[in-house]
Amino acid sequence: MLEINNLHVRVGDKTILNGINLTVKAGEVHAIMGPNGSGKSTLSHVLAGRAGYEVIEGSARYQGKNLLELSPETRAHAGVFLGFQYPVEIPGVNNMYFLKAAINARRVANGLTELDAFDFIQMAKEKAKLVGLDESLLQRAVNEGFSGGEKKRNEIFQMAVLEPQLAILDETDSGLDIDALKIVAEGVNALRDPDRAVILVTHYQRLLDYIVPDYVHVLSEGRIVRSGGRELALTLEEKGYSWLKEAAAT
Amino acid sequence: MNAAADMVARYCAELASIAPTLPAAEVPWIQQTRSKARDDFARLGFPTRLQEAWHYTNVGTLQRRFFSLASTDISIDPKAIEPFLYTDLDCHQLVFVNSIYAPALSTIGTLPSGVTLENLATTLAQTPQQLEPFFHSREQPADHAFNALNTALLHDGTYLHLAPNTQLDKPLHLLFLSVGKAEEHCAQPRNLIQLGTGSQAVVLESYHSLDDAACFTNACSQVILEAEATLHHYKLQEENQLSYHIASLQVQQAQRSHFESHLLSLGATLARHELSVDLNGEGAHCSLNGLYLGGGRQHVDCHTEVRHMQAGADSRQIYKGILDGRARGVFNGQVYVHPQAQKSNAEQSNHNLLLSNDAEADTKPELEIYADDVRCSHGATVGQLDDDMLFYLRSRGLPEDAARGLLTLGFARDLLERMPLKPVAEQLEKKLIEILSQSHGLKSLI
Ligand SMILES: Nc1ncnc2c1ncn2[C@@H]1O[C@H](COP(=O)(O)OP(=O)(O)OP(=O)(O)O)[C@@H](O)[C@H]1O
Ligand SMILES: [Mg+2]
Repeated sequence: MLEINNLHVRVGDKTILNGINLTVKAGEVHAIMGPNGSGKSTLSHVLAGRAGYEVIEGSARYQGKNLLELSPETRAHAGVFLGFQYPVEIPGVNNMYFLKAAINARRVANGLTELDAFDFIQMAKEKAKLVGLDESLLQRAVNEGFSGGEKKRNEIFQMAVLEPQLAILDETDSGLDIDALKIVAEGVNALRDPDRAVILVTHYQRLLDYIVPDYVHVLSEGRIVRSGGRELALTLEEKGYSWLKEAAAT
Repeated sequence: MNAAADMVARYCAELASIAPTLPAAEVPWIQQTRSKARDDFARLGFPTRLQEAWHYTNVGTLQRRFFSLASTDISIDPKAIEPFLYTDLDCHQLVFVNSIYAPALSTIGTLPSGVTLENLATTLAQTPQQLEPFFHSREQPADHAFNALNTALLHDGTYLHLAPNTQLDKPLHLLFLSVGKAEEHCAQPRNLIQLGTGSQAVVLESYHSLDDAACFTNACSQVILEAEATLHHYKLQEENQLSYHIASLQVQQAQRSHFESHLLSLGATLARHELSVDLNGEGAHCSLNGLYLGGGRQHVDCHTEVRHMQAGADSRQIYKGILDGRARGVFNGQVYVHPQAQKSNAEQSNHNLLLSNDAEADTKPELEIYADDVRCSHGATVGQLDDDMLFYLRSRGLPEDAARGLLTLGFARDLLERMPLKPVAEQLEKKLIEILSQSHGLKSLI
């Protein structure tokens, strides 16, 4: 589904990603961990198509297409979803209004008919319940004045509505209380199926108790320095990232 | 004589020749008011950019051509005005064509007792003495050329009077239509509104073109609010892109009166909206809201002037501009606090969104505060759409143009939400969406 090959990315004069290699197949869940500033969000943004990053080497293919030349909306239409580490507040833009426009833009791009207001609202309410998002938040401006946890739930809610093929969740677990964490995990698990894949960026192995990943990768200084299974997260939790550096040195 | 002076002379000559035919021409004080105003206009001429109040706005192209003041007699198919009416809003409706009252298009209906509502020509002809409260400063030399020009003609418009403790049962919609096909015309409506103690009314002014000819509207509205009276005023300006719209709205407020205004400026090549509010009584309150859009080469200028003359009055101003193409928006907000106006509360903000690199916004707050125990704040911004917001929306699948449109609408949203009349807010929102769709492809999604 996603093949990242030797990806080098620069912002201004600063090279942030230094040769990422990562293959994600349909049905898999990959966790990406790594110290602050190692490039996890940068990788997520590049995959979703944010401007301002210069790809200096390497490639990323998604469903056989060159992902990096597509506009953000085209990627979304093809099923890519980014759950933001810091969801932006958008005053004056109603959550439901926006999401209806988003889902219909995607449906139209994929040759489907638009959802009418009634069907959309039914579906949105159902999904809001599923992810434990207070219905009153649906009628508010996107993320405006939402608590940190509410913003993260709103990301998961949008994911649940849009049903992406490839969900990239950038620290969606940060700032969530334990109940919310479980709900988010349920939201992600509900999406798991043989046709979809998930990339989870997280600092806490706790999330991985609820969403059991197929692979765990450690990103450091813009490179994946270690990959393993579920147990790698536990080792990291115990020993910290310095262990990796020492391991690399010896 | 230079060209500008020639043009002023031409207007004055036409005014002089029309004068004897105007309503109440035989009433001495009215005749004097008009002729003094004509002299004032002759002396003042059109404003130039050397005048502080006109620093950002050049009326050069307006004064190079002549717009006839003579009254026109044009009959309009009632169907033609339908697009300009507010659906779902039951109103008293006065329609004016080139500022002349069109009874066939108007519906005043039955009025509650204590309410006088008629077109101004009727008042001038029948009970001109009622209008004196609006003209008592007629001894002083005028310093406002466009107001002088309007007063020099003083022919038609609206007269609304509410006796104390009266409520106007329905909103009053004043619809001003410009027609310029036969001859380029200057419409000069005058609207005089007086609400007695404790009275309440809602008034909507809207300005539209019926054809694509250039017109010049020089509108002047005056409002007198007695103690504890409340007026909500809405104004929609949507004349065609060749037209000129110059308007002033002057409000006098007695103690504990409330005035709320909502402006939406969309049309005209040059639009100037002046709003001056004198808070003459303790505890008076005004809330001034404005949204102005410009595209192409439009120029839109909002001038506010709030004077706190007595203690404990409140003023709030929120103006926002959305400027695209090579448009230019101006906001000049003056706040004056008299030495005895302690415990005044004055807030002002102006935010501008530039949608293109060639659009321009000028914002100039002017605060003159002579009392020490006051709370005054002002803030002004000029910015573009936020890249992070755009990316967020696009990452969910919104095409770029729709995302821009949605964010632009979001920028304007709070001004729509502030309007207490929901049918008006909804209709104006539709209008905004329509305009934004032309450049931003919003419509397909909403
Ligand atoms: N636009 C930018 N301009 C300059 N430097 C940037 C920019 N964006 C990211 N960086 C830098 O790139 C590095 C990687 O940032 P990134 O946000 O990808 O880290 P991260 O792994 O997500 O960290 P965290 O765990 O704290 O979220 C950091 O040093 C950051 O300062
Ligand atoms: Mg990050």
